[in-house]
Amino acid sequence: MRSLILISLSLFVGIGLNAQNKTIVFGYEEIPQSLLVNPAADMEQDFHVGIPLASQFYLHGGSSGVSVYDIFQESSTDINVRISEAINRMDNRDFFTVNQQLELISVGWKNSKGDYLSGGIYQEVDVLTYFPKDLADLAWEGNRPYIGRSFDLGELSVTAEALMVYHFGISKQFSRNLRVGARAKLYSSIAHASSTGNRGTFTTFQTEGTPNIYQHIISNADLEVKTSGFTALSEANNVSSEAVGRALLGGNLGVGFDFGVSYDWNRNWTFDASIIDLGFVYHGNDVQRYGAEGDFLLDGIEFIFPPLSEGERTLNYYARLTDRFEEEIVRDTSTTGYLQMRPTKVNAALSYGWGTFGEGEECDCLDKGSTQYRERAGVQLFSVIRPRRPHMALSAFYYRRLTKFLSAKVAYTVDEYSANNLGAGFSADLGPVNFYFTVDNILRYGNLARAKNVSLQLGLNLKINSE
Amino acid sequence: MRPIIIICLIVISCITASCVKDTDFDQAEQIALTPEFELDLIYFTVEPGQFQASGGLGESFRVTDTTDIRFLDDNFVVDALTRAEIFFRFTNSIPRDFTTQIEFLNDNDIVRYAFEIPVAGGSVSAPVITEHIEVIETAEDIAELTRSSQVVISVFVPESPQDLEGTLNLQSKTTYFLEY
Repeated sequence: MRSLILISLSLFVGIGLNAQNKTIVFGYEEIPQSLLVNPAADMEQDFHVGIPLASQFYLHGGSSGVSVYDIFQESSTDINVRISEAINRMDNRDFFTVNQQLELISVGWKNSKGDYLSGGIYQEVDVLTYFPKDLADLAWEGNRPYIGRSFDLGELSVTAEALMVYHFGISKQFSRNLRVGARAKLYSSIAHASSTGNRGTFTTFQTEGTPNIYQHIISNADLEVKTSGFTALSEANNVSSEAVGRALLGGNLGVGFDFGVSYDWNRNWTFDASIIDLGFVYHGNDVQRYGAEGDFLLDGIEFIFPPLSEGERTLNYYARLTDRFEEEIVRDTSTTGYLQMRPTKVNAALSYGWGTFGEGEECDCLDKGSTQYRERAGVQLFSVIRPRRPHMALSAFYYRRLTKFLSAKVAYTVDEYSANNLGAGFSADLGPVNFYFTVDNILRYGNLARAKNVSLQLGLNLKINSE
Repeated sequence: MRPIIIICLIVISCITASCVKDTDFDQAEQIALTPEFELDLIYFTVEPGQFQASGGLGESFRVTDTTDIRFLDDNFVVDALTRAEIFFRFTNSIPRDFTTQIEFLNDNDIVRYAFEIPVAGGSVSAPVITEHIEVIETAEDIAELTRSSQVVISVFVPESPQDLEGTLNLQSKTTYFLEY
């Protein structure tokens, strides 16, 4: 159990609040990977190709309610007291999340009509679990301090998936003011597990007039765990080759779409928005589903003292009890396929641009081929649809082109749990080589253990202009 | 080279500025869950007519019954149980004093842990409540308890209660103190 707690904390604590909130990269058009956050992004180059396996590494995760420092700080207080305090402080809206992406291939080019076509392949891991407050209290303290309290089994809500994404998209200047983009995606699921939409309660009652001291009642339980891919991976002689096979369209498949828009209200004001991963994966291959449903009352074992002959055994009370449990809590295992909706993300930004880069240059910023603004500031909204509710974040950002080869962007993000997340990133064009690097939660950078939310994204591309 | 130098400086400063400090991950060894679970055990209501003569010369009258308790010798409980408190509440409206014997047995019917509880006699109009908490906390006793998989409860009375009125009722629960 200690190991489980340590692994869980190591995995989740200290790394994003809103997984995949690529605040810095959204609208940062010097970075080709901004096309993956808004397919309507306007690429300045004629051609780009990502350095294979190095064009985008992204890691974002976190814990909404507790940091590594909260638990593992150097202190004279017992660590178990700090864990108790953390459990008491958190509620069932808190969550832990990890999202990781590794781009294998990325390529894009401008066609003769000026549209920017792009495609590629990236691998993604996404994990989200809500904090099951009631179950944590039960595991940490037992039912003794909570006689009469109903523990909500429905708080169990977890999703985890690993998949490969194949995509192709277009960014098109639709009119002088409007640029639109779309991207089609083919998801190849390597493995998936989820347990959401559960319900039921467990209560220990102490009331007068009952046969025994307590009544332990499981009420209205309906729990399910859905998995795909795990049996194939666990039984494979070579796990790596099985995983690769499932990533190469050999597992479960799905489709999705990204849509984006960029609209220039006037010379200075721009509105950008995108919806990402509007799609699903159908799991029909190597599916295992485990369910349990029903009601059960336990009040101990009643002795009836049956008259027995010499050597005769009494009733098998325990077997009768377990048999009744099996009958009343119906457990089911099936291989029926299921549909998994992808966590759809929405980004939107309203920004104001000003200034020109380079002395004497006149900005004709509605002409996309002309000089870009030197500075831009605005607000961004992010939302991702999760099993219980959308997770949202609001950011204010400032972008500036610093030199001919270097630009930078900072963003200050507020969400429902953190009000001081400062992120920053830069993009540098060293000849044809584009390097970008973004981090989140800089204010906690001096001691990452105190951060509940950290993300990192970096990559290398080649950007080439025909002129 | 100037651009490269600037980029390198930014990246290096980002990397070197970040750290994890003021933490001690060795404390993970000290993490221990110590829940306390309450669980009903045995209950019964026995009438005087159910007592049967026992012993060769009818030296006492008794009722006895037994059940498996399969979770007690489960590996998890064996490793995690640090203390157990078994609570018994007898409500006796039979005008006889009883002796209750509780025995925990292993799979081979060998007694691993046993104790007795004297139960005071009462009357139909004024039942007497007898409560007893059996605390099992030494390592030896815990080991014996967690080698058990059956419990036997026997109620003895030296004189026949068969012509008497009233009932003997038992309610019981166990508090399991775990650490894992």
